[in-house]
Formats: sequence, C-alpha cells, structure tokens
Amino acid sequence: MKILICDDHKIVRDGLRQILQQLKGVTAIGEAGSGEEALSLLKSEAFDVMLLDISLPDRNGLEVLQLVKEKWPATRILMLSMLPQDQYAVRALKLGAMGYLTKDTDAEELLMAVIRVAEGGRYLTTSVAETLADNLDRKANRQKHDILSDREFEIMIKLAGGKSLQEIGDELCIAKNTVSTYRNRIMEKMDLTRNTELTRYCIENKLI
Amino acid sequence: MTHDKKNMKNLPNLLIVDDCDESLATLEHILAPLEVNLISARSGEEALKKSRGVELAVALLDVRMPGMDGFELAKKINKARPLSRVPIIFLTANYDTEVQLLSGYESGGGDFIKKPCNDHLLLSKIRVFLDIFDQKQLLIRDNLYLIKIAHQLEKIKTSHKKSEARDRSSIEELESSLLQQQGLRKYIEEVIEKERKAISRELHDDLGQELTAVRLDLAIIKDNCADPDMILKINKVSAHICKIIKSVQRLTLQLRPHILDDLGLESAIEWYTAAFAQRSNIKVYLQIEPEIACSHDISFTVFRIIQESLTNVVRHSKASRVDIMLHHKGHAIHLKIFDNGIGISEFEKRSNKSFGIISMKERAASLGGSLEIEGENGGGTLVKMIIPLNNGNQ
Repeated sequence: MKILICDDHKIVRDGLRQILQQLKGVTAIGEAGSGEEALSLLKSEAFDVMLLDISLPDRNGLEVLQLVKEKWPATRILMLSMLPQDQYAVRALKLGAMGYLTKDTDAEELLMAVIRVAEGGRYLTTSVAETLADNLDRKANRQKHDILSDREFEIMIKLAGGKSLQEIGDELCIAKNTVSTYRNRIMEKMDLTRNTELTRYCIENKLI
Repeated sequence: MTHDKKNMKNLPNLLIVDDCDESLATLEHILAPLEVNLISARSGEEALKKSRGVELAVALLDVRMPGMDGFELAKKINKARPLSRVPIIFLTANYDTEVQLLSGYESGGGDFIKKPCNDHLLLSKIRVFLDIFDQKQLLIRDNLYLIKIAHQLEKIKTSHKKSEARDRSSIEELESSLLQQQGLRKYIEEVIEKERKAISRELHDDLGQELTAVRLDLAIIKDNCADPDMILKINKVSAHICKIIKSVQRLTLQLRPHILDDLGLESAIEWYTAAFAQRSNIKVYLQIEPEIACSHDISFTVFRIIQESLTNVVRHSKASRVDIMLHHKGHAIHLKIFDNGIGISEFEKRSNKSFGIISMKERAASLGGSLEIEGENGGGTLVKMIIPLNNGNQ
C-alpha cells in the first residue's frame, strides 16, 4: 500500500510517517508540502491512499481533493484537518473524500481510518454522520410551512379556512391580539401579506 | 377718549388767537370744559412764538388782527409743520366777503365760524377736530408700531436667513461626518478582520500544527515504551495536548469563521447554528435558499448579524426556538430571524445603550441595506434585514 501525505507542516508529516510506518503492508510513504507538489507527485507515481489537509499554502485542500478525484479516481482520500466543523466533513464527503478526521484524533483511530479507507470503505465519525443526516433531513423537507411552529400551523389552517381573529381567539381561548401577533408572525414566515394568499397556499399544498 | 385722561400731561394743544382781550377771555371761557391745553395769544407773532415746536391739535384764529392777520398766521403755522397740517378754524366777522373766505381756505383753513360765536357750535366743532386729532395720533402711533414691527421682521428675516444658511451648512457637515464615520467604521472593521484573519491563521497553522506534531510524536514514544507508569503519563500529556488543540481551534473560529470563506454562507450558518443550539439548548430551524450568490461582504454581514441576533436571543429573549430564513428576492437578500421569546419593548429598541442593535443597523447600512427589529411584548422578536445585491455587492 502506498500512502501520500499532503500537509504543509514538516513536523506533522514526520509524525504521521512514523505512525503510518507501523501499519502492515505499507510499502511507500510520499510527502508533499503543498497542493501543487502533491499533484506533481501523483503524476509520476500512483498512491492508494492520500492524507490531505485543507489548509494548504497554495490552494484549498478541497480543491486539491476535486482535482485528484478527477484525474486519479483510484486514489482514496482521507481528509485530515485542523478544522473541527462537521460541515467541512460533509462538503469533503460530497466532493468524493472517503473520510474526514480532525487532527486531535488519536493515533489508533487514525490508523483504523486509514485501514478502512484503504480497504475501500468510508470512515465517518459519529458526529459527522449526524450532521450528514440532519442535512439530508432539512433539505428533503423544503416546504415553506415547515418553519411554522405547531401553534402557528394550527392558526394558519384556521385563518386559511376563513375564520376571523376573534373566532380563532375564542376557539383557542387566547386573546384576539395574541392571534393577531401569531398572524403577523405566520405572514412573515410564509412571506405572504393576505389571508387569501394563505388560503391559496394551503389549498395548493393540500393542507385544507 | 382723552376725557378720561385729565391727569395726563399729554393733552392736545389748542391755539386761540384774538387781538381783543375780551374775545380771548370769552373763548377761554367757552373752551374751558375741554380736556385741552389752551395756548392763548393776542397777535400772530405771539402765537408763532408760543406755538413753536408744539404740536397743535386745532388752531382757532381771528381773521382780522392788526399786523399779521389770521390767514397769514395760518400759512405760517402750517409752513412750520410741513408734515402734519394743523386744522384751522377762522373766526370771521359778518361782513367778511366770500373772496376773503376763499383765501382763508387757501391758507389752510378747515372751517369758519362767524362772530359772535355760538358756544355750542364752537365747542362741538372743536370737539370734532379734537377727535380727528385723536384718531390721527392713534394712526401715527399704529404706524410707528407697524414700522417697528416691519423693522423687527426684517431683522428676524435676516437672522433667519443667516441661521438657515448656518443650519444648512451644519446639516451638510453632519451628513458628511456621518458618512465619514460610516467609512471609518467600515475601514476599522476591515482592519480588524484582516488582523483577526492573520492571527487566526497563525494560531491555526503554526500553533495548531506544532501541537499536532507533538501529539503524534508522543504516540510513537508511547508505542516504544514498556514502562506502564510512563505510558499512563504519556496518555495524560496527550489528552492535555488534545485539549489545547481544541482551544486553539475554538479561538481560531472565534477570531475568524474560515468556514465562511471555505464553504460559503449556507454551511457557515449550518455550523454556527448547530453549535449554538447545542450550547444554548434553543432549537434553531433554518430555511436557507441554496446557493445564493453574494459577495464576501454580504455573506460576512449576514453571518455576523445572525451571530449577534442569536447572542441577543440567549441573553434576553427566554426563547426556546429560533427560525432563520434567508432568501434571495428581487435583487436583494432577505434575512429574517424569529424567536418565540418575550419580545423587545419599544424603549429597549430605541435606547442609546442598545449598542448591539445600533451596530447591526450600521452593518446593514454600510452595504446600502436596512435592518428592522420588531417584537411586541410577548410575541417574540423578529430581526429583518434586507441588503440589495446591486452596487457591486453581487
């Protein structure tokens, strides 16, 4: 197994090299201090796994990721970054990375991840997996009224049904003014101004 | 009206001239009930002398007198008063001809009374002239007053013009200093951002990476170490370094959300709000239009406004839920941040101490946008920002 480390800090590369050397089956470890260096190394030599940092001196690691994926799809990439946000992981996974680790990861976990990726699998931390799921969930439900609270939704349906503020207040045992505040809030959230628009939205979306 | 003013010194002056002592005495007697200051003279010369510089309400002149006659005297009296003619009543004898009377009118006479005088006729005629004099005095007074007012008006107008010019120039000064301040503010913010970026890069790139390297080295030392005590110690140190790395990461993020540059606004908001929700136990719901293309300035401002608003939510609102909507609508970016908390009072909104609100408004204004905060008590708070995408903001 041939591994390429792309990180602009020599001490980090040295440390990683010593750890990766413990892995069985590692035949060569290449080092690149920049995106360009990594790309030129890949041109002359094939690597099975690439450890890639996001903060590089010449270009963003996510860009390098895309270029490598495009030109050397067989090279499996494990992102290794100081950046802790799961959003980076999500973006990297979308762009074709097989895993994302932050640099506070233990050596044991790092080795596990490298093995998993080298075997053709993906390595996700629990937190990244959760963010990914949240993301899917949010993007799947892109209906305008999803943003309404339960109470707001209830009042919207009543308004759309043609009920007056007073009637709704009476039904829900709240003051007419409170209903009016809810109505303003609903209109702002739905980006509408008139009750008839609300009715139309509810009918079109089969809510009433 | 002068009748009430017996004590006043300013009684109208009435000149009576007759060469005959008896006639003069009779006249004085007849005129005694009048509220006037009587000036009596026995000749034209005496009359002129006594009335010099005196304002006369009426003059009662005998026509036939030795030396200067009444007509000549009348002419001289009025010649000495070119601005205000003195009404003159001539006392004439029965035998005076009409030609003579005509010359009386020419010399400025107002009326003729034949001698011997009828008391009542004389009195009432003089009263008419006194009334006219009174009216004239009033008119003069009013006129003077009007002139004074006109003068004051003119003065006010001039000073108004001056102050208007002053106001205009001070408004211009204010406007330009406001613009300068906005420019300065923007500049300072840019400098701060640049500085933050540099510091955070150093923290991240140097300190962070060095620590990472130390940790990797420790892992290797641990692998080559057989002493269980030593391994325990190494684990402790390693855990400690891990903590330091995490604080460096946190510091880096606080200084500069690199994620905004690297992954764009949507990811940055996702990350920030998720972390916020975890910290604060307040649910955050996002509705963000994907791939809104806007400049770095706008992204950054939107991000900072969200940060500021969420900080306010935690501090003041007692909310349990926040909704953030970001849309692109008609060449503008619309950001709405709702919470379901206690709302914000008009007083809090307007307070000079609401620096957070002022600074949010200024951030929006610096990009030609606007920011409003709504929220009746109890109905939650809504922060609404609109930033146009023109003016090279795109």
